[in-house]
Amino acid sequence: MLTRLQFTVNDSVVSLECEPGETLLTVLRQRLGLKGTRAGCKSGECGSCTVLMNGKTVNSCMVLALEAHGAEIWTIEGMNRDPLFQRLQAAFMQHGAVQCGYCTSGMLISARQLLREKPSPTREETRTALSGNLCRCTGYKKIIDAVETVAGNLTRVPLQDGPNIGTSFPRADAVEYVSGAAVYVDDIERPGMVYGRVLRSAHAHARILNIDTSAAEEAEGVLAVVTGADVPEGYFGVDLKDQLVMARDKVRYRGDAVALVAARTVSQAEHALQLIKVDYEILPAVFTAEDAMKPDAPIIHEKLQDYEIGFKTERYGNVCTVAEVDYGDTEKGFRESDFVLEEEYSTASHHQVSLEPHGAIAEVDCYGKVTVWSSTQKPFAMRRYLSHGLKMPISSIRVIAERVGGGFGGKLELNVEPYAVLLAQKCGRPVKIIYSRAEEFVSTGGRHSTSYTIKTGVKKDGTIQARRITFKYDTGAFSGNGPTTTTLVCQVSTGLYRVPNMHIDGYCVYTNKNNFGSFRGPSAPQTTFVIESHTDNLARALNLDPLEFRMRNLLQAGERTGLGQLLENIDYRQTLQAVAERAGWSELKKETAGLQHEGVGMGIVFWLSGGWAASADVRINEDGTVFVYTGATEMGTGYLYTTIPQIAAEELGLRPNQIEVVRGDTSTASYDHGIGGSRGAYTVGMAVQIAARKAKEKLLAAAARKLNVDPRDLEAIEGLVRHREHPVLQLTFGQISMDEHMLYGGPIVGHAEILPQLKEIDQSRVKGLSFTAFPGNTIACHITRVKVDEESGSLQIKKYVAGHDVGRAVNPMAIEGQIEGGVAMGLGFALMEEMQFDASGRIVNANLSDYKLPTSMDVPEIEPVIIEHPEKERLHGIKGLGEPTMAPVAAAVANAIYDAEGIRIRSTPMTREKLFHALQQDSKVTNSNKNAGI
Amino acid sequence: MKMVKAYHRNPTLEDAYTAYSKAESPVRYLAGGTDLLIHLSSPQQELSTVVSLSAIEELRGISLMDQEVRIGAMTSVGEIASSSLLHSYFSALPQAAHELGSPPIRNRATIGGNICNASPSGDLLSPLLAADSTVVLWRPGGTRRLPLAEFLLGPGKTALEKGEILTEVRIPSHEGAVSRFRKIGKKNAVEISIVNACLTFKTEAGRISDVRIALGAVGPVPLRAVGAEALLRNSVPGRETIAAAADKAALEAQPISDVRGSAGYRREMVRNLIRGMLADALFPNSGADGGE
Repeated sequence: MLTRLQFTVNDSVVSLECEPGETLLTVLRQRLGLKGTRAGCKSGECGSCTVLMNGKTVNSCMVLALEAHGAEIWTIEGMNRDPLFQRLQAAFMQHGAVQCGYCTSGMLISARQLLREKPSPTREETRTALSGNLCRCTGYKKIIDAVETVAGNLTRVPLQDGPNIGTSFPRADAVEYVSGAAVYVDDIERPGMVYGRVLRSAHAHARILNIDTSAAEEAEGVLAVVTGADVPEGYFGVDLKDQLVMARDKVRYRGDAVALVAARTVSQAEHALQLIKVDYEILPAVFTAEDAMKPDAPIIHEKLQDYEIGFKTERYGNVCTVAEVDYGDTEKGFRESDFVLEEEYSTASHHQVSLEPHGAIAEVDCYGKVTVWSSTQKPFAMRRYLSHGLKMPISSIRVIAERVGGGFGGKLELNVEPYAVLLAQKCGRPVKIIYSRAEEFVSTGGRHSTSYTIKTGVKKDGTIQARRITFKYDTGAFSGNGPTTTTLVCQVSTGLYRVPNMHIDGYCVYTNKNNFGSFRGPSAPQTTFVIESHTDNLARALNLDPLEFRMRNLLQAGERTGLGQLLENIDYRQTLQAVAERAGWSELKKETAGLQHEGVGMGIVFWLSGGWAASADVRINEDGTVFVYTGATEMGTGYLYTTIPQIAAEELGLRPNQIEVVRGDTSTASYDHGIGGSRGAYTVGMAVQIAARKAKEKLLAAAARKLNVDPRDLEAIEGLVRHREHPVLQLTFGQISMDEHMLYGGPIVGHAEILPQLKEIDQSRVKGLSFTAFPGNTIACHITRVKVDEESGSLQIKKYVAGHDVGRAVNPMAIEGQIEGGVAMGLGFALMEEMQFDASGRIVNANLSDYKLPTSMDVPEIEPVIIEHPEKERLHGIKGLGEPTMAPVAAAVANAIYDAEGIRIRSTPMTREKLFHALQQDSKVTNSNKNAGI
Repeated sequence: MKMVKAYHRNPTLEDAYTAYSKAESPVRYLAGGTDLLIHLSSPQQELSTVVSLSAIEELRGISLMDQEVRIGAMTSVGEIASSSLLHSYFSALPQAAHELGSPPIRNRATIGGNICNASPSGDLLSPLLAADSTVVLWRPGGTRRLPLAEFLLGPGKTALEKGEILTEVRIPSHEGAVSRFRKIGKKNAVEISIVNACLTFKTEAGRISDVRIALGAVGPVPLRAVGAEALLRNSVPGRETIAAAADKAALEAQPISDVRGSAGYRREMVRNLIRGMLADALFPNSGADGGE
């Protein structure tokens, strides 16, 4: 039943026929093409779709379009003309308040409305006004700073004029986000495009007996139905090829893809899914690594031994990787210790929750070639996985990575893409699939839940003698990035402290849950929580200051880690000392010593980054401007539009605004491994720097020919090529390049391909690792002061200092943005975020009202500290940063809680309820001890 | 696309009622939609007819009349949060409104919707219950008034009869009374309450009178802690009375364990919230525990 809707949108009267169930969001986006309003959760929780309706902010997903009849609506496209809005846009760009950009439209509208109603809000009022707009990237600080600047409360702005390296240039592409122009996958329309949906398993573990799709095929608007039987039996995987694109004979978790439907509308596709009848034979299921390792546990992968694998490991039962580290004599070490402490810890699974859901569009051309538009961090790998999973030649697939509205590791692996391809192949039309928020939780990963046993022996003076760690990682129904994560645990566990005798047993275990995988520093938040909590306990048992205990045991530059990796370009003690001084560790200790319920804590992490192949092409255009071509993606951190132009500019004697980055795809750009592992600025930066250097050499050679001088006497500076001794001999880049193009054919291009070598480790000490060690090592130290509310168990973070060795700070503002965002995410992991499963393996909080994300009112003021120990082997000196930023948070907070209350929380998240119960237990123990006269 | 097969929006109660009556089941009245649209999102839902109340002007506004405050059912939560009349009249209600959802949600959500949704954790319900509010229900040929306590029957269940419309809420005068609202969630903002509580009372010559305590998210409907109220009534409160009343309220709560929190934690939070609110209200200048 169509009904007429007439309203004013951005000052124009609009009249259209509308379905009664359409929301304002879909009318704005799909009918009016106003794509700057983003769809994040479609349930009023995230604020990405905020617009103005009759002068008030509303979630346009929560307004039936017909309710807007007669209303006045403003979207970001129309707000672009508002002077107050323009000042906010400028401030957002200047302050680096934009990362992935998905929240930006809604955030700006809420900010503008606040300032309209209250021109000089307090910082607290700004926090409140923005609390309905979730941001997963920035930690809110730079957003609030930007609003405060426009409000006139803040006059200090980042210095944005200075040398190419070390200046906080705003992002070159920020204008796309603050104007709503940025294009994400869901914003792309293709001619004749239809919509796909996925039928997911209703059981955690079951055999598929029969799938009857006949009713669905007949349903209105349906163009294609696909089941596992239609799909070639192509196994894919990162390290262990154990996954089929769709469930075939059995389902392994509640969410496994059982059937796909393409229809003219999303609703028709969803309706058709309801008509598919699947007969299951239900099998016993397991939901924890411990249960899955029991001898009588149901087997999730019967063909485990047959799967192709890229490294050597034991595998048996439901265990898909066994990692082992062994050196020294652990038992002897324990015997020779004065004090031995053994503890158990666990961490809950935690989801990336990118505000932009996973999505893809697939289109098949008349040659049978497939083009996939995807929100992916890793287009070349995506092409490879699609080739394996669908048994298609790599050359027949083109993957175009679009803007990533938040990735955090969740968009590294194959997920929605093959479904779009299969449906497009079957119905012959372009197919778009965008996941719902529930589907995001049910089928797109998350961080592994874990359990650890850790035992350490120490001497009275605090010297660590021996350590034994056993850990179990629940990888879900497929291995995914589990083996890599297992390997990383071993590296992170052995990287910080001098432990002469060490033994680690690690298990990566299948369960009947969704496949957990990569998430910002896989393994690091969990391992750091465990080791750094344990470290504090050791220090306290020996009555040593936690800082002093760490100082005594930290490895020195030039020493080797437990795995045998040489530590270079790093100074743990100096970094730790510098951060402790900046935070005022000793003063904080003194101040809180006399305060009830207040305490301070620290956590440190060793992390490795970079690695894997990158390439770049740098072209000098006819007018002397420069394009950088890359197949690397921009996953939301902004490195591609800050650090990369800065590096290229420095190498070429230009300014960053003279460099333009052109993102290519798998058919037009040269290879990049994919953005993850904190390798963006580090590895892609290396490739760009070398390519720029090569382009410059060609430019100088061409200039030397024209000037009839030796190219070695020339230099490139400020857009000119100049003779070092006779500066009158000079040509502009444009003069040289135009002539080269006209007389010899262009372009002037430098190409580079690099592969930062993995570091060597002592192979005699390890078994079952999937790789040795990434090249770039770094350390971070976080220090926090907390106040515990014993009445509710809630925690107030009164101070948070996060120090990171970044190698070289090419763009300090971008670095602060990573640190602030990482700490906010770490606080989510530490205090509130948890995927909760019921006894049947169903996620019971697959929405943003019960899966808790920190809001602008939950994240404290974070103080980043930038430490620079440049990587000498790398021209630019950068170390990877994105991942380690969230790793030490839970440990620092747990240690501060211990300092405040004497209570050790050994599992995440440390919710208010958990902390409250621990306090209760403690007071009972204390009281009974008192009664007993202890 | 929401599961809606037909949409009606009428300028009068009579027209809305007619549209509702003529529609095939299921049919729903639409207020702000912040709960209803979530409900209508699931493709497993049957298609509903929706009758919007947003064009009925008489359902909006906050006014003082006949010793009572009248709040139209379609008044937004945001308007309640910023109402100076309500702040001086019964401040716990605007306080609760300010903590409900997020700013854009508060701009859409309505008091009538919050009541008719009858969620055990609905943030406006405990203040309205503590304020001894009544709701006015309309149907052609008659209106009736019900105390809120008799209107709320269970999770999602109310005393509304078919087609009946909740048109307004009436709050009796609380002159001289203090009122407090607090809630506990897992985070600081945009939270569904694990527990919420509202307290109101007067003091006459040092003695407590007119005391009412309402608790949310600890029972199938928000409930009154009548036992705790009895302990406080006519007392000259001190530390011990406060503790006893808080303990009593905790016993009166009927919490369950769910994804948001355990029954045990809820019960303890009732105790601590009530103790804290009483102490703050009675002894604003002493520590959290208040008392002698």
